[in-house]
Amino acid sequence: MLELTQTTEGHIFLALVIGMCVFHTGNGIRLMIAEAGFGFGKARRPDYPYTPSSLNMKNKLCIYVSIGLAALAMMYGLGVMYDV
Amino acid sequence: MMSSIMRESHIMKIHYLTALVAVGFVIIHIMVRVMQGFSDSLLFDNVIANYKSIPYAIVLEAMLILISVHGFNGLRIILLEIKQGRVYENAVTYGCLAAMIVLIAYGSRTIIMASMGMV
Amino acid sequence: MAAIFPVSSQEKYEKTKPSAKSITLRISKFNPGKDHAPTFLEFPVSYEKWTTVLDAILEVKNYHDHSIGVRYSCRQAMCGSCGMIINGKPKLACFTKISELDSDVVTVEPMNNFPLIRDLVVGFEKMFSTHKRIKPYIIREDSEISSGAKEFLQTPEDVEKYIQFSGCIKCGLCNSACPTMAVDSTFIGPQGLAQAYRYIADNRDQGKDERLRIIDERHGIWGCHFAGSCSQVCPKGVDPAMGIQLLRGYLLGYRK
Repeated sequence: MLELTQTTEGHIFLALVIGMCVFHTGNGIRLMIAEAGFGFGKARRPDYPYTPSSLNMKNKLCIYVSIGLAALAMMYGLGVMYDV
Repeated sequence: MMSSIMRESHIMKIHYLTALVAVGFVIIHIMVRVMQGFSDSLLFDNVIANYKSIPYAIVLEAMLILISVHGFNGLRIILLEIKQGRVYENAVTYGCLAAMIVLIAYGSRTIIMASMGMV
Repeated sequence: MAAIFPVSSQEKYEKTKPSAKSITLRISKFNPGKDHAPTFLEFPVSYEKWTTVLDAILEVKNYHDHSIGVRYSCRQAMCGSCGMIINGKPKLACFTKISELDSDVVTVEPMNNFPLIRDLVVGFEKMFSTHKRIKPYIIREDSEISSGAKEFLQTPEDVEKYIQFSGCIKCGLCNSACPTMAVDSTFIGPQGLAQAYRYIADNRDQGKDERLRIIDERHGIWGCHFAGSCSQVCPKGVDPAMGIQLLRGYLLGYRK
């Protein structure tokens, strides 16, 4: 089984696993913080154009940060696996 | 069904707790691994040597338990969303629980045997 | 002088039609009892800056195809009757101006995740029964009459905590947009969960534990993964996603 991970396909698969795990971790922490009540403002009387305050830049930024960290982790992982 | 044994909010608290603690242990694991070169760390004798160190074996055991619990609960959540029905839901819940126990048991057996030098 | 020869509806339409821009309205037609599959009928419709999608559908229904099934009522985004998929997004037809869609083709289809009755009309029984399940009323042992007080007092701050969620018009657009509702037929849905929060956040209510027990299940609040589509499509700014996350705070112990 270990030999499979030493191939190019194996390295790409492991890099994808690294990326998915790092994104899952970052996004999960964002969700836990959101459920604690942080990051989406207070309930208030809505007014036109009825923009939802829960879908704000803080949450979007956290998702982009998770994607960025996943990309960095994948690059680091590939660097380690290819002995760069 | 699992929710009749334990409320779903308690299961989710366990799910979140295992996630956070597992991240901590994985960071420790990565920090230790970084100290050894990638190709050297995969040599058989070096892998077995990890298990001989009791604190590191405990880290590995903790990671096994935490990630198995988190992973199989996550799988249960995904499968229950795809299809519903009392029989199916019971089968998925008990199946995931059984798979979790089997993986933890087999992994713990490996760690214990390796740390005792039986491998 | 009365007309000797009756004017056909088509002729009347041609005479009164104002000169304006035009779009093609594609309407989904499907009668589950008769048809094998949905088809789209196309109609050219003139529109002005203020013409809504509902106006266009009713013009087609009045002058071209009387058999189009469509549900509507107030025409001012208060009743929640005219929810449908407009160019791929769940919207209220009376609240969506054709000029804002910025497209030469406007496609209208029935809402997703609802059983289809005919054409653009869907069934709301499941949504209403789920809504009843979460006990959408103030639960309290006493009442204003028995307690001797004229009314239960609330400060403006108390009202601000739930007033946003009380704006729900039960249009079902959030349920239509929800990705979990698309796969999980037993999920309560953002509408029900947001309404559960509306009553829990109301300081007059004493049924918090009862409601939390109802929603604390896999196909209850824990089916939500904060995709946010519900809040994106809500025409009244209810923001169900916020309500659901705040509700989870109660279940996880962050809020009491």
